[in-house]
Amino acid sequence: MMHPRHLLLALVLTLAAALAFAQEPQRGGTLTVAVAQDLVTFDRMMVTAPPAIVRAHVFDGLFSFDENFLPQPTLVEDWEVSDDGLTWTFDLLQDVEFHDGTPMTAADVVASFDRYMRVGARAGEFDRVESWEAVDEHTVRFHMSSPWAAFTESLGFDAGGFAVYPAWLVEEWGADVGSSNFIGTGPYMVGEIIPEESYQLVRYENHRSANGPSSFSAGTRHAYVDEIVFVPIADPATRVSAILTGEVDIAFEVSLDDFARLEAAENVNVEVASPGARVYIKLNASQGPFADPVLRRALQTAIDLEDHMFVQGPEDLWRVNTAPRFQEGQWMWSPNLESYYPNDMERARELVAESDYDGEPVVLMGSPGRLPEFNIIPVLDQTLREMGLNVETVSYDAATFSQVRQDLSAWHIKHAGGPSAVPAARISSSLTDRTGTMWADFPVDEWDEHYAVLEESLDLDVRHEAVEELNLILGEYANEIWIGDVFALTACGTHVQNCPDTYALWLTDVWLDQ
Amino acid sequence: MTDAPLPDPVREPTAPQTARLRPSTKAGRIVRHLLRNQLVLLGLGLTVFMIVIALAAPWLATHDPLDTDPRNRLQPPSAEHLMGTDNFGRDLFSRVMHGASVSMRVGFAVVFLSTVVGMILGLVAGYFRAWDGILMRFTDGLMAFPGILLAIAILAALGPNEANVILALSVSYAPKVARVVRGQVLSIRELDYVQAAIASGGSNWRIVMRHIVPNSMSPTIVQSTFILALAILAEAGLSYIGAGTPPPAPSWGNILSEGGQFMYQAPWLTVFPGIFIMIAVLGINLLGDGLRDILDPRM
Amino acid sequence: MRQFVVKRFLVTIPVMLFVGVVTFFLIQLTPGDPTAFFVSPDATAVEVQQVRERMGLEEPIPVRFALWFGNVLQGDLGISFYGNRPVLQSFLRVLPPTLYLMVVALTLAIVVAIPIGIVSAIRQNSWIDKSLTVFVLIGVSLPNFWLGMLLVLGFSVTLGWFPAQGFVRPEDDFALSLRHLILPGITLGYSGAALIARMTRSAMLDVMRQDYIRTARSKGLRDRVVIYGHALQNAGPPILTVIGLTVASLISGSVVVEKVFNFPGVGRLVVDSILRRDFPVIQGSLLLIAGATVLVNLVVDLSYALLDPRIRYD
Repeated sequence: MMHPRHLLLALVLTLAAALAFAQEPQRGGTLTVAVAQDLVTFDRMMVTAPPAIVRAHVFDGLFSFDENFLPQPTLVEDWEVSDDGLTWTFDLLQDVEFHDGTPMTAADVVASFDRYMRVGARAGEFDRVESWEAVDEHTVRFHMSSPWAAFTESLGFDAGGFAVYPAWLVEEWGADVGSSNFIGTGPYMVGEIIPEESYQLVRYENHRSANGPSSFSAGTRHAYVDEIVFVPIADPATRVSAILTGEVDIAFEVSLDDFARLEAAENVNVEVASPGARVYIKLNASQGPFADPVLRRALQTAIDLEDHMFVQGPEDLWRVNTAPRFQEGQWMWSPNLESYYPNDMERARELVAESDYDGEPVVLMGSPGRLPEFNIIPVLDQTLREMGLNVETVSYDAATFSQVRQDLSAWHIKHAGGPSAVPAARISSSLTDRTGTMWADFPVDEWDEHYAVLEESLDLDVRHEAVEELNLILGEYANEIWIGDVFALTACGTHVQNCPDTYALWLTDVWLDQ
Repeated sequence: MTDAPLPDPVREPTAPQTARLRPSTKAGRIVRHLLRNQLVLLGLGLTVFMIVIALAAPWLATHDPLDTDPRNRLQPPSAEHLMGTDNFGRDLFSRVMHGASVSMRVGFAVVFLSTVVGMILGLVAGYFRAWDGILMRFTDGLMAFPGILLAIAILAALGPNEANVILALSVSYAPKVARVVRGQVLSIRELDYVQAAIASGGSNWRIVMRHIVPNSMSPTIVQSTFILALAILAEAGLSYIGAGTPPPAPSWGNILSEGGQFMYQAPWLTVFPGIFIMIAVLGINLLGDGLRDILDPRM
Repeated sequence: MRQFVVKRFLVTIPVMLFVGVVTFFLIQLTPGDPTAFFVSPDATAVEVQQVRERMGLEEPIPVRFALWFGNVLQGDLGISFYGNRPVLQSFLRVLPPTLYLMVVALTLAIVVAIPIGIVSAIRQNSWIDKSLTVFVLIGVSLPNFWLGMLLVLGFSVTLGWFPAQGFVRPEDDFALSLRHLILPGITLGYSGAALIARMTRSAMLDVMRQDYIRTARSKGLRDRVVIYGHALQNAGPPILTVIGLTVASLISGSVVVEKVFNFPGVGRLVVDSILRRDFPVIQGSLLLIAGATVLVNLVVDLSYALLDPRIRYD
């Protein structure tokens, strides 16, 4: 995979980065940033939808992920877990102020957690948390019904994650999505909002940064630019035009096929972040032809994973990755399930013949707006046809897709995708369909045994082994086919220093040549 | 984009005109005019050319339009791939040929459906005046929505597939046909010999089919031509919005809009389908423009 | 005349009722989950259910219709799902940019089309007439999103003359605002030009065949004076009518053009809202657009009646 061209590129980028670091950071200026999605709301607890990066500058949580995808304290100074794993005590950072100038205390954290458990987007992950209380002004304590090692991980996961709001704001918003008074502890305050056009953030001078070295979303932050203006531009080609004309300083989620063109442009640099987005396939293991495990195995056997990734763009900007959900760093991206994907069409056809399949239509469902996942559809359509299946490809817009996928009688196979870094609890979403019902004949007892270890053990190595077992169960059950990762490309104007080279959620540490 | 630029040849209800009735000389006059006017001939030629391509697509195509070849994506035109390959490594030439079928099929189906429905509505409203009020309020209501927004909303409700694209566009165009037909009917039914036929107790069906329909056809024919042109463009526009013929089946519209992401890296992905759409629609517009001059000289 | 005005006005009431009912039921019966844009691509079912309840989507449809219709009658178009903003406020925010775009497009179309129409008429059937005919017809034969993309590639990315996307309001920076409007204006205006040019040409031909023009010519007045003085004046009403029709086609065209240029206008708001299933915004916006169309038609009909005394008020 490492091509000479790629090596050269890495070298050039390293040199450029070294040069950048050699310069003294400068304060000031306005950073205009093109993001791919419009902002639903600043209310960070409420929505998991991207762009999370906009919210992440305004509100802090208790933990954030570092570059190894391990949770590090953000608003927390120190913490301890009781020996039985049931009680977690957090000492909060002192001298943290909200944007309205009031100090953040344990009461705010408790009030925010009250709200989160009521309406938070991922509150379900926290069902082991039984109670929480303020011990003193700067200490909060959480009590679990059973040991939960992944607690800080779930706290650290940004999208729809827990964030600390002032207690009065929690009272004002209640269960509704907040629509004004976005007051947090983050390095930037909300400025002028022109809905669907631009979202201005203004530096908060009294921001108290987290301790520790800067790493991915964790650690010390320097807010160099005075203002950040986020501009939603949905069309990837338009984002590229906007960075080339200098209308924006940074463009996120640039198409892989634009890499060479942007690299060649004199006024633009491109940063490649790995991993970026996962691409996989979901099979309907409860109804229709793929309820037959033999047919699922047949597809696993037939599929040419590389072919499904080649459609994503130039070959050094993606990788085949058969590990379910977790990434290297986080879980040493293991185990490798490649043996399940022999790329053997002949054997696959034999398996189809052995299966119960008798020529009924196989509904392949996709949503063209959902890139990069949708890119695999024409190739998958062909793979299924070559296997001898009677494929019927249907496309829906994103909203209809979201609804139809809940109806197991309406589809048999579809594309799927998601972010690369996810909390451990997410692995359990492989077990159930969209209504929360377990897939037919899933080996749940075996699963639960290993899953309990993952959730409860505090020893990373032990948890890692549990993940390996869980992955093997998934590989064997074959209701999901994990194909690969598409790297995230960020384009920055050459005047932008320290262009974000990770999929991080921060534009702090970025500065502008004046 | 779905709103017809010119298919409102009769300015009604405010300005009913007196109809021109020269049935005996009409056909001969049309042919003479057609042959004299080079632009109309050009338009006719281009239209016929595109129809032939659409019908012959399965024989013209050199590859299966759905066959992907991911390792040979975005290849420029060559002997193997006459128009190059797209981002899935599919043969663009074959997709454009098959796309002609889809686009022309959508266009003609929309013309047929909207004209038939529009004529029925217009005839009923113009001839049976009791129905006029309610039918015209109905068409007013539909026409109050910008055509493309109505089509997008209908497609969102019904789901995007070829049949629903046809339905959605027909719903946008039929009221316009209805209004034109109604205007024609209103003026024709006031003519002396039609009034005489009504007075002498002729059956409504007979009067409508013998006198009204034949004499109200000219503007409808002109309008149909423009609807064909608009429907092909509208299908492309809908594809761009994400509500057109759904992939991976090729239509000119979805080939062009998908290629829009590769304008720079692979210009052939937009140039070829773009030119095909332009030529087809230009041909139809030239034809319609000429027909209008001939059939409806007042315009 | 007064009776005609009153009658014409009363007729708009059932039309608006029809529009309201169509809008609500077409939108509410649309499948698709409004929560799709509130949750991450791999959100769990529990998470989705929570969001649905918050949006009031678990109420039965008749209840929702009664609530909505009652509120509309009181002038309340509701609150958007997306961003929790009053629908009317969102609509009024995006209306001016679309109006500016239409004005620029229409101005460009008229400035180009009327001279072309006149020249075509004067040189009827010459090669100039034919080339001009083909030129204006190409405008209605190009998919406008493709034209827009080509203009962006040429004039924004390569030459750097105009911004590639977005909009700046004229009160903030007039010159920049105008630069934002040029490319979308050309894209949109080109298709409108055909309509106006063709109508100008035929109206001019029509008038030039009239006896009094021939008389004027035979009196020895110079051609140009005849044409500008008499013909254009008399060709005015049909040209005005067709400009009115052009506005209707530009409204539809702007929907696509706004998407190409990431232009914050009415079309983009409605399309985005349809894609997001933001029911209150779609319903409110469609109702306002349809209402405006009905009003404009009313005004056009009335002014046409005033301009042309031959019209029967029936």
